[in-house]
Amino acid sequence: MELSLENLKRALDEPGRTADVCSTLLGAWFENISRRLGDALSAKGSEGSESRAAVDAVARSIPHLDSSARRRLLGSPWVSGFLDNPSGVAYENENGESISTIHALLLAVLAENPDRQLHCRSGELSDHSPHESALGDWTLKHQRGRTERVERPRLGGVIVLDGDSRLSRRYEAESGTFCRPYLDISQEEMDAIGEKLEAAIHMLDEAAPHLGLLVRTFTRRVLVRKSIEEGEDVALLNLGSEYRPIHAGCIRMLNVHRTEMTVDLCAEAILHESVHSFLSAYEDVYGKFMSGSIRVRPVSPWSGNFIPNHSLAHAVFVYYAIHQLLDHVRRCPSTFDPIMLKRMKRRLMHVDGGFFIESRMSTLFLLDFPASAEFMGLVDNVQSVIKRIDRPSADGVIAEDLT
Amino acid sequence: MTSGAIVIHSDRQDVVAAALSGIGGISVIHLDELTSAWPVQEATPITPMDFDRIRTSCQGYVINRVFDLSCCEIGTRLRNCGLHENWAHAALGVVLGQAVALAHGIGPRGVSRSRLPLNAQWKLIADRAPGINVPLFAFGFGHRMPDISHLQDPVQKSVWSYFRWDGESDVTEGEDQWHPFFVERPDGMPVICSYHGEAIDLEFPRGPVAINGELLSTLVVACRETFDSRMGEVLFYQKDERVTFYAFSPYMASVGDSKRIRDLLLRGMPFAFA
Repeated sequence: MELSLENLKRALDEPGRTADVCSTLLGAWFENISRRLGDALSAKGSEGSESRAAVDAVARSIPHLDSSARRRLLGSPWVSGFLDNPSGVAYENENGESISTIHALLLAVLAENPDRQLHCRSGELSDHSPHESALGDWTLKHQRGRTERVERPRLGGVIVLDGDSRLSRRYEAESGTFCRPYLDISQEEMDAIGEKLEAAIHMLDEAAPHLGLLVRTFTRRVLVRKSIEEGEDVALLNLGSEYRPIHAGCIRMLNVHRTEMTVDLCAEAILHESVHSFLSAYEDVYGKFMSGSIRVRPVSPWSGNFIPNHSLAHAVFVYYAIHQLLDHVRRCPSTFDPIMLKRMKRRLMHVDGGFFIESRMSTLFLLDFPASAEFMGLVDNVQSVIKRIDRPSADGVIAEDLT
Repeated sequence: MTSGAIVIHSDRQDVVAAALSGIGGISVIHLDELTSAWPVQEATPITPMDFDRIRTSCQGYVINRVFDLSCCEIGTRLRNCGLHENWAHAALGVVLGQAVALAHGIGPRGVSRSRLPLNAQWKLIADRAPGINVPLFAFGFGHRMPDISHLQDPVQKSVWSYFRWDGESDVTEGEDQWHPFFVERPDGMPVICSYHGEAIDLEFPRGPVAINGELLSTLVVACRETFDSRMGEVLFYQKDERVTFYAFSPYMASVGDSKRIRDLLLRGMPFAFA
């Protein structure tokens, strides 16, 4: 079944549709990424002998995976990272040496292979054997002469919380989160982060269960990055989150250990990045909404920052989803702490304010090649829905009182 | 509809407001006077109250000079309430929505077409007026520096600094490392064309040059329509027959002489004024 663009909006604002849209999209996405992986491996294998061995090993091992392991592999950042750049660097090892995306993919395949007996063994870990599962839900730790399998915590029952993997330490100059320094997170801080993020998922489930479902479907791993210490100057503090399709299903969050990163901000961040993942999955299957060129970038009506055209396209749906969450919170005020409720009402006005521009949202894009009329119509439709809710008027009548 | 005009401005030093004050049939009002009765409350859209005294004027020609709320009283109240700036522009939009003609777009920097970043201006003008050249540039992403190997004599600039092309970098601290923007230094003779409606005024900062009237007309029409601005100033460089568009600005700060700017503004009015 082909999912029309309209379903992107319906998954967010029609709770009865969300499960169908999410499951249909995820199924189509797995089929798509499996096909693309096969094509990319064939292309990589024909490049030369240097990567041939790794490609052959990956191709040989995949048929041995059962359907669950295969889905775990396909849904991992190692497949999307390889597809994004088959000759790229996945991460740096303990010695600062680059591990290629094909090598990281091979390690992920080996980790999911039940014949590898990875669960417990003796001996040192090396770059030639996996350190963790494809999804990062377990990792191998070498302690007192023995390698043990350690489970990472899960949020909302399914989403892996990761603050120590090689992936979570990656540096990316163009990233808003991974351009920040990586500081070790203590166990005490990790526990507090886990509690906070669990509360955030709970808030999503309470306020908008359909969005909780969407989050669990399209987010498999939360990578937390600590860039400043607890007592450091607040002026240095960066709070934020990010989703990059190169690591499918992985969302990044900055400085969750700080008290400034409240449960409600975390809930918003998780939803925000999960919607990016949802939209990216749609684009993987049905094609990009528009060009990914970043030479000329429009200004976001929410932040005033330059963002690529395709990021603005995503932002419309992301903020529409956040509107749904915050609007549900506003309608059930007794469920939430009054101080938190006050903050969330402010955020709702900020989110809605971005839609409140004189021009149609579609006119903000600066594209070399026009996007489809259907997509632009949908963007304008989302904007008009919000503007109907919060209409200021000259005679003092407001369509809906938000106080 | 009326045949009056009103200037609503956010900058007390606004050139257009100063030039048109005291002229019969034209009202000039600072944004603070307009918004003082507007209730600004937390988590509530702004309702534009008590603007009956200018309602009639707003049904004529409205020159919207509200470019920056940060120094206005409503800007302070927005910050105190944590309200997005767009809510004030939206309320202003209700007031201005009845205008027969509007001189500039409504909204904050980068959202209003009247105040776009330089590279966006160049893209839009290149799309619309193929006979006009635009500068080559490179725009980094985040902390990543762009490839500038294709640029001759590049200079790092702020994308928001429209008319400063003295050859020096004008980026502010922090801006040099975040989304770094490089452009070729201009080559040729600068010309600034200020326009209002069909009226124009030319300024030659480094001496007169012969202008191709047809190209100039094409450029002004393209700017007027692309940047949603019935008035504005356009900087271009001319070398031989080649015209390169560098910037559009709505600020009208280039015509230094007060009589000249007043004359230009009156000539370009959609209705006759004394």
